[in-house]
Amino acid sequence: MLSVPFNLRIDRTLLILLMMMAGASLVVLYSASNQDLAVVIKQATRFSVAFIMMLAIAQISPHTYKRWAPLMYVGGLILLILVLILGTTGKGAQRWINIGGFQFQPSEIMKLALPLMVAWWLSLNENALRFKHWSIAFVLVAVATLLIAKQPDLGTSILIAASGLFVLYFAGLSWKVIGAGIATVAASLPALWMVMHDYQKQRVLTFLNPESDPLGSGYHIIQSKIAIGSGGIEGKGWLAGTQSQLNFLPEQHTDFIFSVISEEFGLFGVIALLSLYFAILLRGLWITLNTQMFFARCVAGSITLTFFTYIFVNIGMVSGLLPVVGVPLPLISYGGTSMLTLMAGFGILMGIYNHQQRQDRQNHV
Amino acid sequence: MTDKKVPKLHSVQHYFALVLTLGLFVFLLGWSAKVQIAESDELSAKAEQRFYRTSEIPAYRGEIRDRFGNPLAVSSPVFRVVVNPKLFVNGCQAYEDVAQILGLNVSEFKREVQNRSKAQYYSVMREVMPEQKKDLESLSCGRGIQYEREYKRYFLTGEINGHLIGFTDTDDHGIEGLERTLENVLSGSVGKKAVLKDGRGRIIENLGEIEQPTPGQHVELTIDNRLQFLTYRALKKAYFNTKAKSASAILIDSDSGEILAMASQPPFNPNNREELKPKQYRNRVLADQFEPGSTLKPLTLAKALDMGVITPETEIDTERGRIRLNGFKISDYKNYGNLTAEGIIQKSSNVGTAKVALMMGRDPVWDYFAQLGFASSAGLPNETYNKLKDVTVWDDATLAANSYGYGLAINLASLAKAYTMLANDGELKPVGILKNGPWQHEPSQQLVSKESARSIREMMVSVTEKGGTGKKAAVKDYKIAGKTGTVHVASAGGYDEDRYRSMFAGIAPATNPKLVMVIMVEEPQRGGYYGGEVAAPVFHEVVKEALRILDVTPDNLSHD
Repeated sequence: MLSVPFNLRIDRTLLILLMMMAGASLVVLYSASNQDLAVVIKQATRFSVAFIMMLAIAQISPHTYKRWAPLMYVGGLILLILVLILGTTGKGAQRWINIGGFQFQPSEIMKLALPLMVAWWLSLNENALRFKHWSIAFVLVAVATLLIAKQPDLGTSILIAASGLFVLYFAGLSWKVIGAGIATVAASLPALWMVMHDYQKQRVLTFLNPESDPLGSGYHIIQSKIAIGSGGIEGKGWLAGTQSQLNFLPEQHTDFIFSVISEEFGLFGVIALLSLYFAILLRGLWITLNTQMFFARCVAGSITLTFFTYIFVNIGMVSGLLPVVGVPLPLISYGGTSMLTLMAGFGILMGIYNHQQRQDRQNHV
Repeated sequence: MTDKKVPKLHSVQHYFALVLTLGLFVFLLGWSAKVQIAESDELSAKAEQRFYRTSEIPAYRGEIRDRFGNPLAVSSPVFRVVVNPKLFVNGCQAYEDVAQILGLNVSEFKREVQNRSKAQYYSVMREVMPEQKKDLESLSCGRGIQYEREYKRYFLTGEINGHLIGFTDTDDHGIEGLERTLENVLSGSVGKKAVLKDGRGRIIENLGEIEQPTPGQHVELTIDNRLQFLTYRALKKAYFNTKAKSASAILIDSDSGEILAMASQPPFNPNNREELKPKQYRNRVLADQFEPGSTLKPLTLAKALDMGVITPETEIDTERGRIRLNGFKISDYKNYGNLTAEGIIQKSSNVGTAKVALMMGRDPVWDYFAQLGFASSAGLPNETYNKLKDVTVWDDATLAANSYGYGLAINLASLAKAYTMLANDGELKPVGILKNGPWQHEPSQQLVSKESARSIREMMVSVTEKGGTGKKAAVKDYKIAGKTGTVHVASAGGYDEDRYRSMFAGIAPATNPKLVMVIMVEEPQRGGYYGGEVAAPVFHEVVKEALRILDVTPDNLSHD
């Protein structure tokens, strides 16, 4: 089916699934952008770049990442601090930094650097992990998370924290600690409320009762829910969604694109989308399960579950289950940075798979 | 190989992660299904409601016509030109032609359309003429260019009826004059059409008509456009010749109470309303109040005759032309000696009128003025209320001043209506502007006896005869009963010595009255300021022609 040149090592299953995802994205984007072909072409270009980058990264051995992990992490931290000092402001938050005319978000680097760093740290003592090792790992996660939360970017800081914690989970953190951690987080929610910014509090309040402010902050959630519900089982058809085509939906080609899918393709479309996502997740978990190298296994698991977190937070947000935190629908939403990071993550995942395949072949030999 | 040592614990974590994610996926799916199946109808209805709207289709506005059915204000169909950018951009693309026909900048028009290339509705221009529409239709753009019928009001008589008719706004709703008063009758009821609106409230597509509009009704006025034109022309001439501040005139058919003409100056053309100021379009006949001055004297004396406090022969001593009441000075132009009622009217003696009024007493005079409508109005639409001081504050000085027209403020229509009472042998009948309007059924009232009214009219004829103050109002072959008035303009703290209001009120023919006309010129600057010099010629010019046009029998053929 796919001919592979130059002995390129790839995971065909994952590649096909991701390409289906990209195709779906372009189809939905054409409608969500009010049939703006320029938007679709731009996104297609980004996908092309992202796929090439992913395949390139897939050729790199996990041992290489392991070597570079501490440097990436420290570099990421420095950039995050630079952002706080001299970053440019976009939509009220300082997230961007200018380097040689290119704008990018250092938090995106951290999305990969943090799990790599935590996995590297834990792998140093992989067979004898003690309390102090776990504690230092927690500190690594906390520093990165807090720096991003300070920007402020609640959505990304949740994703970052999750990616770090997932490494701990796959490294074998005791169930007792996990249970205690969940309990602590639940207990400290009031404290979190105290340190949140006003707009973040407003989002939470609006989320709890969107009808309280139907023309203000609640507008997005109400319009989004109307779009989803009015799609029904079969949907209104491609390009025929009234909520999306008539500009009722906020940010409909970025964060709220799930509403467009629901409205135009109905429940069938949602099932198809979630199935595709689940297939990718299954593949990621399968790779994780079959990886013997400790560092690689932790990283693979973290990348897979972080991907899932994206999906859950975004869909939860647009359907009114979670507060609006500004997380795109992975691989579908319009936008470059987060997609590149995700694809780089899948590149690492493929690299891990390739490495294991080689190991297996050597064992057979 | 170290890689072989995989603790079992870790695969437990894998399966737990698998089960957890699967569980959450099922949860998302379940939630989505709940919203899309169970709440679908309700949310679909909300979605419909948010983009499906009804919009108004304008109704044809009724015409305003004169008493003979001649149209004075009509609405003519014009069009709102709407481009459907989606169809236009992919269709005829006739940017140059459309811009040329509508007189638009080509590049600007092209940019506006292309910016909306995904929309289906872009309102390009309103008030587009049918000929332009024809040209646009020949471009064969199909549904790429659409037309919405609207109406534009045309005022066929322009300035002539400008103040009376008023005008409409761009949506053809009356906002001034009779257009406003008669809005409910003229406007009809709008139709409905279905449209699609987007999240920003803009119409993006026309879906079609739901309900036909009901056209408004035509309204006929009592106005005789021939006489209206004469009045307008004479008044405008007087206004410009005397460089006056303003002027107004009203002509009433005293038999029927129908208003035949009503005009104001400065001129106002409702077809051209750029840089419009209210002082230009105000209908001064109804809206401006002023002290009627000497024109009130015949009315006071008619009541005195009716009450019997004087007879036509009674001589009043005018006290060398000046008297004092509670410190209030009343004076005449000069010492007229003893005067009869006719003399008082002819010489316009303030002292004489005041002394008669004092003989009549406060309450009868006040009640009479109230009956004449000086405490209320003439009963016309858009009229301002007259101001008569409350009877309880009337002392002798107030009574005296009111008797010759100072201290009260009335509009020109009310003064004219009071004169129709003299014309109708003492019977005060309703007056109105709508032909066959309900005003005709209002009751009339005999305010003074037939003899008193006739007697006063006879005395008033002397005013327009040789030696009278209003001789310029005279019309050959007819006896004209009239009264001039020259009033100091009231200003803060008293009366200005050099600012006047010049008036003339007259009845023609005096013997068998048909017409009542009252003219007021405010602050004439040139050619004199007496009512007899400024206002009386307007009466002459209009009434002379009006009597001829209406074929009124002369009552003074033997005179010359």
